[in-house]
Amino acid sequence: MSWLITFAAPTTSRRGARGPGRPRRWRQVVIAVAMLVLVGAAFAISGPGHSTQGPSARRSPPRVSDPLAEAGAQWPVFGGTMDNTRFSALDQVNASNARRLGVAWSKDLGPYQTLDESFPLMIGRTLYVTTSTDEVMAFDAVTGKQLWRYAPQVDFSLSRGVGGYGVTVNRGVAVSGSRIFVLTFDDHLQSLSRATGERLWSAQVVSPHTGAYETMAPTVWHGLVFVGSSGSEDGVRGSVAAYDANTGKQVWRFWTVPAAGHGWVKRGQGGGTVYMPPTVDARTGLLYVGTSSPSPTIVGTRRPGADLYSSSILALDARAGRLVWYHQEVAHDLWDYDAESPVVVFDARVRGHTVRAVAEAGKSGYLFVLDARTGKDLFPPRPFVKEHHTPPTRKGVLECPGSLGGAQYGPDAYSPQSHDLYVVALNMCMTLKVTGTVGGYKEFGGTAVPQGVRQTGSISAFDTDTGRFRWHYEVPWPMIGGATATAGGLVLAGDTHGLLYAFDAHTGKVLWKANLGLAFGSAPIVYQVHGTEYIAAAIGGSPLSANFKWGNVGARVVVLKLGGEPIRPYQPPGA
Amino acid sequence: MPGKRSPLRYGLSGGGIVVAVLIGLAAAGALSSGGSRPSATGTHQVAKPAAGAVAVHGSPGWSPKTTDYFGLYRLTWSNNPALAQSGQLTLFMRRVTKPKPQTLPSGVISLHGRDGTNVFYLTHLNHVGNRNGAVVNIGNYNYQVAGHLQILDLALSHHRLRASLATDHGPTIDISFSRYSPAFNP
Repeated sequence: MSWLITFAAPTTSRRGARGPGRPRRWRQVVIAVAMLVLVGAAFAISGPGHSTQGPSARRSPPRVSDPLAEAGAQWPVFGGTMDNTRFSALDQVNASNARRLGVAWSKDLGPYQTLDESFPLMIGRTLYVTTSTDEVMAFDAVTGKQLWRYAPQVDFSLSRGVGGYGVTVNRGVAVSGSRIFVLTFDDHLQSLSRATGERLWSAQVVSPHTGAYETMAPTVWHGLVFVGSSGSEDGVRGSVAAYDANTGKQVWRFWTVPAAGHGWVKRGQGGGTVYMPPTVDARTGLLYVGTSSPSPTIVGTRRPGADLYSSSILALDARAGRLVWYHQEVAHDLWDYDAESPVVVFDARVRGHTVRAVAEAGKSGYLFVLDARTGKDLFPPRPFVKEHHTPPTRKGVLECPGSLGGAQYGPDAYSPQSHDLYVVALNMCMTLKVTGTVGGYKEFGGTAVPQGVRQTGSISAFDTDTGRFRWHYEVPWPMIGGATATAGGLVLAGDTHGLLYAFDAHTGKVLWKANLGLAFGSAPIVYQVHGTEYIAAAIGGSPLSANFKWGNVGARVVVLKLGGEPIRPYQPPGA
Repeated sequence: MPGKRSPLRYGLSGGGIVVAVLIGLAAAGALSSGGSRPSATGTHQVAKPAAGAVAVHGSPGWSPKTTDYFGLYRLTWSNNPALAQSGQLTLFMRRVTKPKPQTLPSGVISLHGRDGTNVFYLTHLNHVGNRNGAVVNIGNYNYQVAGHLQILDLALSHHRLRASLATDHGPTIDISFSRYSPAFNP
């Protein structure tokens, strides 16, 4: 059954905007005036296991823009390449042999380590993984031997966000030359020696007493380390900043929303935080970030207007921190529809021309594909989950997707072979109810209750040549960790129950799947050493997995290869 | 966090009976502290308490007065350096919003040992007579019950506290802390 409801609403894209303090005038808000433009039905959604696909795939030589990606043997940055495409040029593991995947090695990260959203890196022959307590661990990528472990002393007493229940995860490190960069929960950016894990310097990037906390992996480029922060749910004022990689000194900071008492921001409000690693287009020097929703999250009466630059994609001059353009995905957001997953940069072929493009699949459940230079839509935003929106009320209204998405923080993947973007999703509608102006959960403004017996997931392939989804596959459990594509014609994605899937990139057919025992809170990486291709994942789940009991949670690194050991049922430490 | 916190009075009832605090551990390990489940992006949902939720004996809070214990502590000794060579303990009043807005005495213990760093969240502070204890969670405050903490010795005037931390997947360890600040949110 198809559940697509169309709205006509403006999206906002401006070049050279002067700042967030001068929003457009809007009428008194009762009904959200800004939503998303839908044109046409994208696909039909049926039960779990169903795969729909469009025209047969084309194959063309991969258009690779990053020399490291051409080498393909390593995974040196968060998204595989600086463009965040999560594409590996390796093809030893492919559609014809993926069923032979087995375990090369695995390591539990500690009996009390719970949850893991770490996105690993592999450089040289070393695999770098983080734990939820902000430790950085280096392993031999072939044998799994631990080379070193860095355990910072972090003040986790400030893990009182999200309604007081706390969330501590660490999504990985960044590497530049001989140095590693990691963010700690209590808002320190630290530089470590890549060889030994010895700490070189530490800098506080935001004050934890504002409610801000760090979960992201930083991004490094040309001697600058780019960081955002988490905490919009606690009214934190969002920003993205650049730090000198040698000294830890702040070079610039761009605030994504006005200061309290300015523009639309009243005392105690904020939002627009940047949860995931910024993306740098090395060709242009533009830095792309996605921002979260404004606060109070579902109560809009205290923040009339568009609430710039919340729920937006921003393009900044990476060297200067100057805003070049913004594209607000959801103006005056009333649904917690963060644009939080990392922006992907790629070359799209549009009407016979090659266009540098950016894409982001948000919690709104829409995929946005924009001109990377201007922020203008290259295609109309396309839904990849069921959509139904009305402004929240005190009686409660059904919203699809709910305020968890849509797409969560997990990154999309782009294959230059198939020209497809691969988007994982959580299918969950919720009833949103306003409980008071700022009563209850102070900066959320209400409650959000899941509807339906159980939540499911999906993965969809978006054809960047036609601007439409080409195939869509429903899975029994939500997918929130992101996807990875390979030149072997595979799309790899894990779900929150612990299943790792290898999909045929062109058809969406499941070529292989296995239950690795712990929920996926991140996406796999692919690397090669001495002619053997490996697929590695840090598994253990996200707080969502834990709270909804979608699967077992813990913390473990699992590395697969062709002809590896059979995958056995998972035994938790001490069992 | 927006605003400054001041600890609320936490009413206690004392008793002279010394009874060990017994904790039942759920197989799945998920404990709901009242029904609300947060998300990584800050949304609240109402959820049912997990089956086999923790049973806490005794009276709420610590004797003689919970707020007397609040503050920041450093680890000064443990009998298990593999688990705890250094560490921190913070005891404070935690603000929660479900099932209703309230503040709950809580704690966080970070232990840094040869084997890495482990973080334990203390909830359901309780006492039986003058024996103080707490439920120990891992992951966050309401995710998975992992054991219990029992205060063995206390010299508040000297800002010292010794406790026994018993967990599912590891040995029971004795740990001593020294308080260096009574302010839990300096």
